[in-house]
Amino acid sequence: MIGTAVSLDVAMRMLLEGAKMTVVLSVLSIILGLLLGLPVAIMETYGGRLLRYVAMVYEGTLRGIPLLAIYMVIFFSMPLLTGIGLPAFWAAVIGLGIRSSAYQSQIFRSTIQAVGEGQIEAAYSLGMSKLETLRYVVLPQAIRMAVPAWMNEYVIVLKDTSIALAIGIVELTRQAQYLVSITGEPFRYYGLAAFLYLIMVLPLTYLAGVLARKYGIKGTGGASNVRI
Amino acid sequence: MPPTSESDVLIIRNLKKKFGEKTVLNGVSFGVKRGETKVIIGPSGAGKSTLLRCINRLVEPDEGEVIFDGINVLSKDVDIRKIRARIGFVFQHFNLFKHLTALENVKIGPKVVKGLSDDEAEKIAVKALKAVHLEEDAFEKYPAELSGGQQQRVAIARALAMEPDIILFDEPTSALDPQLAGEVLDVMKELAKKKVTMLVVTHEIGFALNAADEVLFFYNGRIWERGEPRELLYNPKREETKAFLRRIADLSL
Amino acid sequence: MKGKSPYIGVFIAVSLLLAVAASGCISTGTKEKVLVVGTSADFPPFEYKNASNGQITGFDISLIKLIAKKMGYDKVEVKDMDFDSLIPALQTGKVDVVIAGMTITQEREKVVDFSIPYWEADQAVLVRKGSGIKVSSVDDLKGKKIGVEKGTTGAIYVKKHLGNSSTIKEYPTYVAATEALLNGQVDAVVLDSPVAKMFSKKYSVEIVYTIKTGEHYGIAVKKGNKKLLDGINNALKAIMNSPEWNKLVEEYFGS
Repeated sequence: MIGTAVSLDVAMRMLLEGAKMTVVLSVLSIILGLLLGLPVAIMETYGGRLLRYVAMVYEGTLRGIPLLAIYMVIFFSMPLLTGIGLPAFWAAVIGLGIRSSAYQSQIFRSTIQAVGEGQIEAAYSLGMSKLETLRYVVLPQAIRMAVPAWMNEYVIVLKDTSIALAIGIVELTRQAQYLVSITGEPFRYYGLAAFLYLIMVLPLTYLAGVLARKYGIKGTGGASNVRI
Repeated sequence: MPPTSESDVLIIRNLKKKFGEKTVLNGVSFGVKRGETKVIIGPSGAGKSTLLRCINRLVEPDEGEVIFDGINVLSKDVDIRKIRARIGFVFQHFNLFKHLTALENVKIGPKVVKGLSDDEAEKIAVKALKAVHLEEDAFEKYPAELSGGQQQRVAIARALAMEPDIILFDEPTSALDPQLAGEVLDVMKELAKKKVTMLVVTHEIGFALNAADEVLFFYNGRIWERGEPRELLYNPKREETKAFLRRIADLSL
Repeated sequence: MKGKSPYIGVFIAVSLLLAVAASGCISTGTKEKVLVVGTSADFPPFEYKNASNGQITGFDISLIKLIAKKMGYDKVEVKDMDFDSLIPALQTGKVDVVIAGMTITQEREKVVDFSIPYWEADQAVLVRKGSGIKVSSVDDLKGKKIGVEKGTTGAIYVKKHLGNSSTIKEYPTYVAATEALLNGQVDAVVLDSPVAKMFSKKYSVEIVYTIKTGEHYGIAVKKGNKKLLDGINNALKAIMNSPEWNKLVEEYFGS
């Protein structure tokens, strides 16, 4: 069985199928991470003492636990404790999403804090409430400043999707493993997988530049130095 | 002369503020009448900026009263946002919203705070920007693409667009080159002529002479001397006032 | 700008995401009797992905399908995951049984129950019938030409112990190695003993020595699930004593 030849055609079909899963998983995860991470960042910067503490514990815990352990808890331990079992795919999205939310909250916290006191004073002086100031002044600036770091976080999420193979997600790396195990050609198939990861990441670098030009704060150079 | 009168749009009584051990305001009382331009001068650290910030409660004073249009601003029941919407504030460093164009900077107040429609807000904003003589090709530019003078004029327009009862100016020209300061001061002089109520902290003696109805000299957290501009600036009574004015003259000559 | 809060959109999105997630867990409620099998499909020929049809297949998979059929199951559902996740999956009920070329060890027996061994990974030394080669220890293979299948336990073992003293030839399959033995290209072949047993019946070769690795593969079930384990053991015994077994070995190791 080892040494079975697989045509490039068939191999690419398997790898692309895996790449599709990688993209779907990473996109859903980064969105979930955004929906959770931004509120956590706001809690950390604007919340009262209790909220701030809760947010800090949330962020610290998730950043402190390896992703694999998060998966294990969600996929294996949660069903035992709560009786609610998630299919592997959603366990993977949630695991990757909440892990990313901890890192995204850190990104947004730092850019929220980087919005100058003068901007906030100006908003208050116009009669804006705290919430309006956040909505119309702080977040628009903080989010734009966050674009480069956020893109970087997406690339990390994309690459970390491979850890989901532990709970049975067949993504790019897993497909490559299948091919290696039947052909005995690790260089070829891991190499192809690496190449596909690269192809997925490179357009993001370009996209980050486009976003920075389009939505960056004009003239400040705020989001223009994008590096991934 | 009584320090304040009931007809004043703004009345400050015995205002005190400490930052830690340092007393910044040590019992300040004065009033501003509608249509009046009042100028505050004095050495840095005399509490001038803190005074302005206490008026709209960007800084909470420790003691005293701020009465704005008959409302006790420091009362717990007051919705300070409603007061702030009626008090314009122009900052030393402009503080324009960096992510918005000049026009959007001026529109945002009427839109978000007053709840006006986009069209209404735009009309008001264009009018305000014309009042500060901003060149039309600069309307769509972002703050970082504007000169300091343009930025400060947009900031004044932003305050004007809220149709405030009074505008507070916190050293509006001290971050600008003299030439750029001139265009800002010209706008302010026009506003004074149009009887816009202004309370201006500045080092621009020329502006005080030209536009002020009264000048207050701040020293050590108090009003050390006050009077009609020519009287106070050409013929100060107290030593500290004389020393300060000499230093200003040395710098500007 | 006023009135419509952007946060409402956020809430809707989160709710949708959770709703979709939740809907995934609702069972379809069929009456079919399904055996959920955990494996790790990167260990050919025991379990691997068939590149041409995308199905997970292999010796283990065919075996468990036979067992399930004998036990009266309608269907076998194969769940592929990382090898290290298999035991947790068994413990948490994600899968009913694990068949994954899993060696029975004392460590694992503490947390799961194993069936009787169905595979001995002991390495047999195969020579031509009548060649007169006698082997009573691994050292007797020194200086000989030895054939192995690339990447197998036997290949690794032989390279480690005889790499310096013998000529080792690697072949892509067991069959190729055995053919090389038959036409005299090598003096002996070292391979998994169940495969060697099958070859000794089929070709003019004989097993002259067995290298004990102590590796026996078993099917794992959740600890204490005696009913399922008994069913598996009975079915397994029946299959191993029937021609089906040799057919199975031949299918995956024969050619």
